[in-house]
Order: sequence, then C-alpha cells, then structure tokens
Amino acid sequence: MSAAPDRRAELIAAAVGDDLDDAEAAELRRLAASDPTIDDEIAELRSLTMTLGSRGPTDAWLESSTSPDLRERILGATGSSEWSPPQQNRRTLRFDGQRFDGQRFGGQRRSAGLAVAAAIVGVVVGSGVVLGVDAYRQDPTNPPAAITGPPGTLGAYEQVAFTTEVPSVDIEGGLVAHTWGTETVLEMDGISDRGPYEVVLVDRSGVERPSGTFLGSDITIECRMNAAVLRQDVTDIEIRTSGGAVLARAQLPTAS
Amino acid sequence: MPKCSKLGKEMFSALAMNVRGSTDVSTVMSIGSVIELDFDVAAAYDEHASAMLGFAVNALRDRTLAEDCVQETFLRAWRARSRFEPGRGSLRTWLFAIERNVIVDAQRSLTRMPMPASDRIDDVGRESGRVTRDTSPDVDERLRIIAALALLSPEHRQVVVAVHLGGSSYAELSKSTGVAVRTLRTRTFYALRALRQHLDGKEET
Repeated sequence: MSAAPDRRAELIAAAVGDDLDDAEAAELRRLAASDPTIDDEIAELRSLTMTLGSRGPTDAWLESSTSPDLRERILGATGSSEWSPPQQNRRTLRFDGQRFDGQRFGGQRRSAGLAVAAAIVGVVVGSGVVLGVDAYRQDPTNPPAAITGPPGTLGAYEQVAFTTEVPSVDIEGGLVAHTWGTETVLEMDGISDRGPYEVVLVDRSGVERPSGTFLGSDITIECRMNAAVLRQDVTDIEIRTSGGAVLARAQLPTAS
Repeated sequence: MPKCSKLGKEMFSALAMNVRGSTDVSTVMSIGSVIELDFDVAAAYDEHASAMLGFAVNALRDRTLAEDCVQETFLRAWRARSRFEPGRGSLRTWLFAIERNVIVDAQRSLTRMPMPASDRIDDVGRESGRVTRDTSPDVDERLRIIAALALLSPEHRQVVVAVHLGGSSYAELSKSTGVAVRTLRTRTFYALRALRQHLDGKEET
C-alpha cells in the first residue's frame, strides 16, 4: 500500500524527465488507464519544468549558507541582543561603482559627538535644518528604531524640518539612508489641492534626483519615497507643485 | 485617525496568528488596545535567512550585495512590523515580498552603475568577460522562480536544479551523489510539487 504512491511518483517524475525505459513506459500506461490523474499530473509538471527552463535562472544555482556575521549585523541593526555597532561591519555599495569595506566606511564617518553638536547648532540657527538625528519616530508605523548615528548612518531615521510659505501646510518628515539610495518619509497636512506634487532630492552638484509624486488630499498624507542617490550626496529636499513651484523645502546637514 | 479603522482587522489577524502558534511573531496588547507585533528577529533570521540569502545570491550573483539585501530586508521588516498582517500571509511570505523589492531596487541601481567584472561570482568569461545585467522584461517572473527554488529543501532543490535546469540524467545524478535512481525520481516528484505550490501561491514568494 505504501509502495504504490512512491512508484506512481517515481514513474511520473521519470516521464516528466523523459527518463522512462520501455518497461516503465508500459507500466505507466497501465497505471494511467485506471488513474486518469496521472496524465494530468505529468502534463502539469512538464509545463512547470518548461517554465523553469525557459524563464528560470540562466546561471548555475549557487548554494549559500548564512554567516554568523550577517546574523550579528542584523540583530544589531534591529536592536536585538548580541549588539555590535552596525557601522563597523556594514558594507555599502556606492552608485559610482566603488565598494567600500567596513573599515573604510567607518573611517569616513564623523563622530557621534560632532553630529549631535551639528544638530544642536541646527536647532539654534532656525528653520530649514535638521532638528535632531534619529529622534524616535512618533508615528506608530515608524516605531523607535535601534539604529542611531549621524546623518548618513545606514538604516537610521533622520528627522528633517521642512519650511514652507503656505501657512496651512504642515509637513513632518525624515530620511533613511540605505545602501541603494535615500528613502524619504513624509507626513503632510493641508495639501488639499489635487496636484500632483513631486518630491525631488538635490545632490551636492545640483543634480535633481526624482523621488516620487503624490496627489493632494484633505486628509493626512503619509508616504515613503525612494531616490537613487546616497544620503551623503543629498543637500536639499524639495516638494514641488506640478508647475514647478517649490511648496516646501528642507536643507540637510552634511552626512558622512 | 485612519489607522483606527484598521485596528479591528489587525487585532483579528494578530489573534489568528497566535492561534496558529507562530514562533516568530507575537502580539502585545497595551493600554488603549493598541496592538504591536513583537517581531522576533533572531527567530525569523534562524528560520528564514538561509532561503532569503539563496534567493538574493541567485538573483544578484553577488554574495556581498546579497547579504546587504537580506540585511536591508530585515531592517525594512523591523521598521514596518506594525503593518504586518498575519491574516494575509505568513511571515516568510511577507519577508520574501520585501526582499523581492529590495532585490529589484538593487538590480535597478546596478544597471545604472559600472561594476568591475571581478565583483561577480561566476559570470566572468562566460560572455567574453563581460558582466551581464538582467534587463529582460521577464525579470519579475524569473525572481518568482528563483524565490520558489530558494524555498525548496536542499535535497529537493538539488534534484530539480540538476535534472531540470542542468540537464543531468537521473543515472548521472545517481552516480555523482550515490543516491539510487528510484529515490532521486521520487524526490524529484515531490520537489516539483513543492515548487508548483510555491509558484501557484503567488504570495509564497
């Protein structure tokens, strides 16, 4: 009783792989005569393997095992136990094609003290600058993150203050630096005109990097947008109307 | 707030998840009936990271970048854990969905930058030393298949890859592995069934 399903499975697999000899082919025909699901299953699995061959991976499969270092980095970055500073181990991939190892990447960072000092100066100077680095987010969708550090720290939330000349508009937002670019997090009220509006990141050479568009709404607008530019290269964020006028702007501190 | 309207569904989903006895995620009900999902990153990593890394490595062909993608996936999941709805799918499904987006982001960034051929694992020399980047319109389908393969057990994946991707016969595979042909065939049958399940249940990937 238990051998029958295995024999059925064996013959079906052999048929799908065109591996049946004559005796097995005859045996399969006899089984299929009393079990119509066999032909259906062969057809389905052949279709699957054809899809696999035509649309699946074109290179040899690479078996890989996870490393203790990766586990440590992830647990550290998410604030779990076994913490170690993620900057010391993390690698980043720059879009100019250069890859940095952890030592070099860490060496380029400013000290946390400098960053805090810069943030304090920013508050004193006034609007349009960073209010604080990695302040815990109030929004429940952005729970307090374990990653802290100066602007540009991978995975850390960097709160940003926007200025606008439209009194009814209230914008709270921030940035998250990633290996692949910069994520902008926005929560906006008072943008009732339908728009659309565009979020643009401006890099240090003045090049504008589009991050996404949104429509105005009478209720709070919450959105996240991504731009293919590294945080350390971003100097400004602008939210523009469809006519190109700047609705709101934030100047950013230098990030490492 | 609009979020309040989601609370009932989230509560239901979270409780349903507890009934299923998930070990990765648990619910915490605090004052004001706010539900937070306590995302056990260590447990999730131990259970899913191997398959996630296999997905990323085979999609990107770059071990270092693949590790970064897995790390980025867990970071995004951690930050978005309050939005995870177990009633809509498993934690693994959710993580793989995030990872697919991370991989697509990485692929898009790679297509905009030159990259030394030496950074690729095994493509150098296959096409005159040129590093190829996947710009096929079927990228999404290919990622879905790679994810489904990554979710197979190592034994199942071995036979599917060898016979149906590599073109080996069962006899050749038997000779190289020492496993009987009958066993390999039977194993392949169940591997293909599992693969089909991963592909049919689109949220599985």
